[in-house]
Order: sequence, then C-alpha cells, then structure tokens
Amino acid sequence: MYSTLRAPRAPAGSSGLVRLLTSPRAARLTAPLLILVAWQLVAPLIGSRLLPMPIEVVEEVGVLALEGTIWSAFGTSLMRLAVGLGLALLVGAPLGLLLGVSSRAEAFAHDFIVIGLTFPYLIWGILVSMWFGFGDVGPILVVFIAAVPYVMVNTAEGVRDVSRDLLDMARSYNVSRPHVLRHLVIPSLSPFFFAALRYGLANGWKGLVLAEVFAATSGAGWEIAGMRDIGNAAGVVVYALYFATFSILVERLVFGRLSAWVFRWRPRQPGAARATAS
Amino acid sequence: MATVELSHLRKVFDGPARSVTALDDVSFEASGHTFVSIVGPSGCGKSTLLNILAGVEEPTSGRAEIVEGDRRARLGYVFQAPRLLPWRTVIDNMMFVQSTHDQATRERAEHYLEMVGLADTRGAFPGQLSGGMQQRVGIARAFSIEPDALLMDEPFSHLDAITARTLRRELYSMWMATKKTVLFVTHDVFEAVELSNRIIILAKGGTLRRDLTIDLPFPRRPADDKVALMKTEVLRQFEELDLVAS
Repeated sequence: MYSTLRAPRAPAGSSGLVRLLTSPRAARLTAPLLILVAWQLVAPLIGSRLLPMPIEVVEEVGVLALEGTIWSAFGTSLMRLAVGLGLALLVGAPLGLLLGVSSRAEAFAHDFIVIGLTFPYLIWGILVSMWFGFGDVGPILVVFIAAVPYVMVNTAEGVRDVSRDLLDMARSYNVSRPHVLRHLVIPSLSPFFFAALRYGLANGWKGLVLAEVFAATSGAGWEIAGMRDIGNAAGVVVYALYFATFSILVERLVFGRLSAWVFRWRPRQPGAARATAS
Repeated sequence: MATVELSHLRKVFDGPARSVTALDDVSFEASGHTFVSIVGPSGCGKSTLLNILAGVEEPTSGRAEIVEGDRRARLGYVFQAPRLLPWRTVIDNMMFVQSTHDQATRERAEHYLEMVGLADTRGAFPGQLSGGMQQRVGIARAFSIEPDALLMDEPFSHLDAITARTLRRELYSMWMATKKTVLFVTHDVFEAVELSNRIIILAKGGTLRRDLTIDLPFPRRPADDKVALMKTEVLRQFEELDLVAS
C-alpha cells in the first residue's frame, strides 16, 4: 500500500474573492465586524442604560471629540504613562542588569519581583491616593510600580542570554569593553528590551487608569469614573474604544516598525534569503 | 616572528562532583612560518589549549604564551562555529575586532574579505550567508587583524566535505602568502597531514604523546601517493597509541 501526496485542491468554484475573504488579512477585519454584529443583536435585549447601541456610541464619540475633554483627558494620561514608563526603564534596566549578572542579587530580589508582578493595582491605587492625594504623583507611581518588574525581569533574562561564545570571541581579540557593551551586549538585549517595553506599557496602562479613578482629578481613568457616576454607559464604551485604538496604533506604528528596523538582520523566512553559493 | 611556548602546562577543571584534568604537563615550542596541528580524541584538551593561549582561560599551573619579540603576540582566532555578530554586516563584523577604525583598516579588512572570495557580501548579514561563507568570514576576520599567529579550533568540522576541501586550499594559500605561525586543532588525522609540517598528538587526559614532523613538500594534494602514504603512517601511529584509555 502506498499513497500519493497531492497538493490540496481549491474548493470548486473558488475565486480570488473567496480566497481574499478567507485570508488571514480579511480575518483581522472580520473579527471586529463580528463583534459589532453581535453587539447590535445583544444590546437591545439588555437595554441601553447598561449597554448602549453601537449607534449611540458613535454619536457619543462625536460628542466627546467635539467637546474636547477626551483629548485633554488622554493627553494627561499619556503624559503620566510616559513619565512612569520612562522612570521604570531608567531604574529597571540597570537593576535588571545587576540581577542578570549576580545570582545573589537575583536571590535577594526574587520574592519582591514575584510580588511586584502579581500585586493588584487596586491596592496600589488606593494606597497612593492615601499617600499623595489627588494629582500626578500617585498615578505616575502606579505606572512605575506596574512596569518596573517587567523591565527588570526581561533585562535580567536578556543579560543571561548574551552568548558566552561571542563574549569569548571578543575577549580573544582584545575588543575593548565599551565596544563589547555597545556592539555585542546591548544588541543581544534588544529583543528582551522590546518585551520589557511591551509588557511595561500594557501593564502601565492598566495600573494608570485604575490609579486615576482613586488618586486623580483628571485623566482618562477619572473621566471614566465620572461617566459611571452619571450613568453614561455609552461614554464608558467610548473611552474603552479609545484605549483599544491606542493600543493597536502603538503596536502597529511604533513597535511594529521599530522592531522591523532593529531586527532587520533577521532572515525574513528561514533560509529564504540564503545565498546559494558556498 | 611569533614563538609559541608551552611549558609544563596543566589545566584542571573543578566540577561539583569531581575535577577533570584537561591538560597534563604539556610542553612544546613552535615558531616562524610553521603549521602545527594538534590532534587527539574529544576531551583531550585541544580547545582548552587554544583558549589558554588566547587568554580566554587561565592555566592551573605551568606557562603558555605566544610572543612576538619581547611583547605578547597579536592573535587571530578561528572557531569551530563562525561566531559572527548576527546583527552586524559582514564588513562590520570584521571591523568589530580591529583596534583602529580608520579608512586604512577598513580597506585592509576588505582586502582579506576579497581573499576569501566574499567581497560582494560585505553589506550582507551573517544570517543571509551559508555556513561555509560564514566560516570564510571568520577566517578573513582572523587574518584581517594581521596577527602574528593564528589559532584555529576545528574550523572545518561543521562543513560538508567539498566546502571543507575548498577552504583548506584557501587556508593553505593564505598561510603561504602571509607566513604566519598557525596552531590548528583537529580530530581529523588526514586533514592534519594535508595542512601541517608538524603534528602534535594529545591523549585523553591532556598528555602529549607524539610530536611528529611531516616532511613532505607543499602544496599537498590529497590524492598524491606520498601524501596518502603519510596519512596511513600517521593514522597507524595514532591508532597504536591507546589515546582514549583513562
């Protein structure tokens, strides 16, 4: 018994259109479309006080955009996010380096990091509101606390991942320390740095919004709390949409492009760019 | 003229359970335009010997150094794997190991890249090259610092037979053109006979068992009768020694 492997045949009557509609590219569009349809079907059953209809949300997007509070709210939040994340990188990266090279430092910090990674942001949010009242300090601190363990863990992981073989190579050629740091250590850290930035940003956002509910009188979190107080479900959904849009934009425009540039040395497909001659 | 000096070299690696002797009282000297192969089974301390000479590892006792006149010699090192920085282009990889970064140095690096036939790939990343091409870059890198001596650690063992043969020929012509002292580690007796004028045989446990002079004219063609006879003779001696007995 033997069987012949055949290339899978396209279903009868398939056209370019069908292929396009079933492609992964189309799937990225059908996903939100499907959610929209489901939303439209379910919303009337629940009632617009609790879940607004899509059209109400669209109206609310317009109202909030024209009114302008949403821009200043996001502006304030983004500023806090940037400062908190910047501090987390500034403090977390050197600490991560230390954890990567010293097993004693790692043992010392291990439990703190575990706590840092799992501690509920709610508690930090309430604590900072008690310590610092309402303002920028509390929310920035929560972003910092939310992001710094991820920066430390990923940097440490990156340091441990630096190739021993390449370091020995550099040493046997007497390459200077600054040169090794700049051209060998830092580039091999960059995938981990990206991971740190992604996780830091994601968790910083989550921590920030929560902190703004408790410890601020401005920013997206505070505005959302206000919407809840006046029972404006559509407004809350609009803010959620802005968050979603922002995450996707940052991913596509910033991280996607930056990592494509930083990792341009990686062969796009295994073996695809391989030269044939030996 | 570089001189390799090993005197009662000993290296012991302390493990958690037991310590392993990698090199045990190894002494020899080599200098000038000579090609010394160090042959032996796995675990005989061949690579450790090169690492100590390169300053990557410290000897437990004894002395091992390569000098040029009264200073430490500049060393080029070719490893078993190419050990290129994947995020730097071919030419930038060569520039990474240079002590100066001026135009003249760059031109010198390009000259050696040309010698291994890879002038066209200067802007490519290592991941875009075949294994053989990457290894060539490693060889060009070692020559490009214009070293006093070259250390090579089984540089062709990961390559297919045809590529390895081509690279051996290229290495031979570069050795002839540059007149360097070469220390070449291999487990392949035939490769050692084709390339070297001296073969040092180490046994497991890192003891020096034979120091052979290969008195054959260069270039040596693998199919040449005299070369073939010499290979058989060296292999016979190699097998006579019980190299893996512990």
